[in-house]
This record gives sequence, C-alpha cells and structure tokens, in this order.
Amino acid sequence: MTTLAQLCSAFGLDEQAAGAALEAESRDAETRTPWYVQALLAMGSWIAALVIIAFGCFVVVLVFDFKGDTSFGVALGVLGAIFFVPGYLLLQRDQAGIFAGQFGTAIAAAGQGMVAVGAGFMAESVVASAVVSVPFAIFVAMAINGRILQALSSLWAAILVIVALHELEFPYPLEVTALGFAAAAWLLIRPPQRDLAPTAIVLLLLGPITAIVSDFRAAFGIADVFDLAGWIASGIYGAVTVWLFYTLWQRTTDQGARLRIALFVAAAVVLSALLPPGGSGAVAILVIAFMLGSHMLAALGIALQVYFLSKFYYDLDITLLTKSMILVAVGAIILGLWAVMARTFSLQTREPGP
Amino acid sequence: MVFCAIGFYGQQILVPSGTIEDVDTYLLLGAFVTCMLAAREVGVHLGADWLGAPWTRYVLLATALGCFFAVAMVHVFDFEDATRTVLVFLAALAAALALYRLALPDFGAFAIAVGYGGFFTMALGGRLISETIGYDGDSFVILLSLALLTVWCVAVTAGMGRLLMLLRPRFLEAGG
Repeated sequence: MTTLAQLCSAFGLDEQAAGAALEAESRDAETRTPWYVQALLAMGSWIAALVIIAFGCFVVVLVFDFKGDTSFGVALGVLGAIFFVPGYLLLQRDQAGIFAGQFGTAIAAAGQGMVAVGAGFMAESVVASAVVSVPFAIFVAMAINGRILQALSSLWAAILVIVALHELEFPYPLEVTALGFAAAAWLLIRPPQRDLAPTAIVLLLLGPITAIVSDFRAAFGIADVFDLAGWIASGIYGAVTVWLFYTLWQRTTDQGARLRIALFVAAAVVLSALLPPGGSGAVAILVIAFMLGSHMLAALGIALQVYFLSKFYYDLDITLLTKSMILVAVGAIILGLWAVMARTFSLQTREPGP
Repeated sequence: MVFCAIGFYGQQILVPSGTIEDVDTYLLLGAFVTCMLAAREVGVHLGADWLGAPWTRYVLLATALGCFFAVAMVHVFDFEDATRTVLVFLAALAAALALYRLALPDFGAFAIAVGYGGFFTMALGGRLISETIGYDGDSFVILLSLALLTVWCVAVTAGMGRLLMLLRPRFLEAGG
C-alpha cells in the first residue's frame, strides 16, 4: 500500500500540508449531510408543504369566503406570498436550528405552490402557474441558502412546465426536457460558484421521468402529444454523452484509457440510437455519475435503465422464444465482459463503508 | 423472478380463492425479501465477498420495509382492518434499527429504517388528529387540524434529521 510519505515524496508535496488537507477533508465528510438524508428530509418537507397548501386553500375558502375562481386565485396567491417571506427569512438566518430550517423550507415551498395554484385559478390555465413558478425557482436557486428548498422549488416549476406544455399541445416536450438535461449536465460537470446541484439534478431526471409518464399514459390508451416526439431528444442525449466522454478524454493522457473511452463512446452512441429517448438520457446519467463519483446518480441511472431496457425488450416485435434467446445471449455477453473487466482491473467488492 | 412469482401467485390464485387476504400477499413478499436480506448478511459473514457491496443490503432492506410499510398504511388510514400489518411493520422496523445500529453498524441502512419509521409516525399523527379533532366540521376545527398536522410533519422530519446527524459520528467511529 502507498503511504502518504511515499505519495508526497513521489509528487514532491509537503507531507505536513497534505496531512492537514486530508484531515480537513475527513472532518468535512463527517459534518456534511449525506445525500440520502437530504432526500429523506426533502420528502418530509414536501409532505408538510402539501398540508400547508391545503391549509391555505381552506383559509381562503372558509375564513375569507373567496369562492369564485378569480377571487380565490388572488387570495391564495397573496397568502402564498405571505407564507413565502417568513420561510425565506428563516432560511437566510445563519444559525437556524433544524426545526426552523425544515419549517422555513416547508412554508417557502408551500408559498411558491400557493402562488402558482392561485395564478392558475386566476387565468384558468396551468400555463399561468408555470409562468409564475419559473421565476420563483430561479430566485430560490440564486438567492436562498437551502438545498432542499432549491430542489423542491425546481421540482414544482419543472412539473408545472411539463403540464403546461401538455395543455398547450406543444409537440416536442421531450426535446424541451432534453435541452434542460444538457444544461443540467453542464452545471454538474462545470459547476458555477453558486451551488446549483439540486436544480441540476431535477433537470437531469425530468426528461427520463417525463418519458416514463408518457409511456404509462400511452399504456392506458390516453392519446398523447408526447408520442410525436423522440428522435431529436435522443440526438440531444447522444450529443451530451459524446461531450461527456470528450471531457473525460481531455482529462486523461493514458492511451489505454483513451482506447476504452473510444469503445464506450461507440457503445453509448449505439445504445442511444436503439433505446427510447429516456433510455438515452439514462445512459448519460450513468456517465455523469461515473465522472462525479456520485452513488446517488449511479443508483438513479441504473433504476431508470432497468425500466427503459425492459421497455425496449417488451416493445421488440419478435416472438417470445427469440426474445428469450436474445436475453440469454446478452446476459452471457455482459457476464463475460464483467469477468474480463474484473480480471483486468482487479475489481473488488467490499463490506459496507461510511 | 421469485418475488414476481410470489406476487402473481398471491394476487391471482390465493387471494381470489379466499386462502389469504390482499394485504397478506405483501406480507409474504416482505417476508421473502427479509429472508434474502438475512441470507445476504449470513453470506457476507461467512466470507462471500461478492455479496458485500452496500447496495445489495440497501435495495433488499428498502424493498422489505417498503412491502411491510405499504400494508401498514392500509390499516393506519383505515382502508382495511388489518392490525397484524402494523405489528409486522413495527417488528421489522425495530429489528432493522437494532441490527444496523448495534450488530452491523451501517448508517445508510439505519437511515432507510429511520425514514420508514418517520413517515409511519407522520401518518399515525394524521390518523390521531382525524380521530380526535377531525378534518370536518366548522372552519376552526379544519384549520386547527391542518395546522397541527403541519407542525407534526415538520417536527417529525426535523426529528429524523436531528437523530441521524447526531448519530452519524458514532457510526463513523464504529466504521459504519
């Protein structure tokens, strides 16, 4: 095993400074909230925000007796803005406790939701809700310190934009989500000074999840404008994947590694062409997960790929016997490749770690 | 495949024939995945390194608790009278918390169990408010119930976060 002293000697580093840097990194890892705990807290805040929105609706109807669409919408919007401000102020405090932080997140998210619902009622259209939500999400991302609120706010806005595109019968919603995906990939690989990772992850998942929702709608026989789209989205995902590999290529000088990258590019392009658009997006998510060393994105990418590969298999217009043989052959090839890679790179499984 | 087989056999044969109730299919599925998780833990203990990747534990634990949680919710929200589902869920949850806190310290697995416990507690609070104050009646009652539910949900979420971040250093010390 290489010791710190050997490593510092090989690269001409100051051993004391390297030791201090490693210790600081280790302390930082101990105090940082892991992603799955943040996801758990986000789910809790989401539930609380929904309850608060119900509370706001009842306040408007029962206390103020606003029942017409316009007056209800205006009242709910104003109430939402009133809810948002204390949430914003709570999250801006440096020493907010965990309860205050969660409460601030929930009421700010609920405030944004109420303003969006209110706008929707006023205009009798989801498009108005989306138009109001997007600047809210941008404001939250740029001005408020709170990763969970940023994720919830982006999610509200993203869902409303997709529903609004559907309402407008816009023929290329998958292409819009693919463009969002490209922006998200850029934000994750070339991160700006401001932490926009929660927004980027929402945008990253939006395309594949929209494709899954579209599949289910089609399965239940609901005519869908999403059916018109697809190939351009696949092309955008493929281009993002190639760009990601190009970035990897630039970071390495080892010829063997570059050859492997070239092989992966070829495989990824073929996969992107074969799979439905969401599946091409899931391929790119896996590449981003590899580049960032993100277990969360890897897990999400694999889960999405399980769905899209199953769908690809299900949609093949061949007999079940042929499908089975293809499945057996693919399984055997993948196992063989895994065995070769395990020998080449001495892959080791290990006990659960921190 | 065995998981699917149990699900299909339960839903399409045992439930229609009246041998078991709908919720029991999920209890069977949860029990099957729990057995797989136990086999995984024993296998790793006996030296089967290829089973040692953390995700194998997390996927099995989340699925097993998910099966039990889903049917426990059916009882908590009063869709069906099935007290056994709550008891099974609580037993599985307690076992998971104890196992991954004490015997095999693993913060990720512990967080999964705490998450299920937290959402169960949230739902329980909702039911309790429904039984005591209620969500219908005059406007004051409805607003009071929703305000209480909001505070409860935020408190449970904050409690989960606080508990996990308090215990995290101890897990790191224990190598989990």
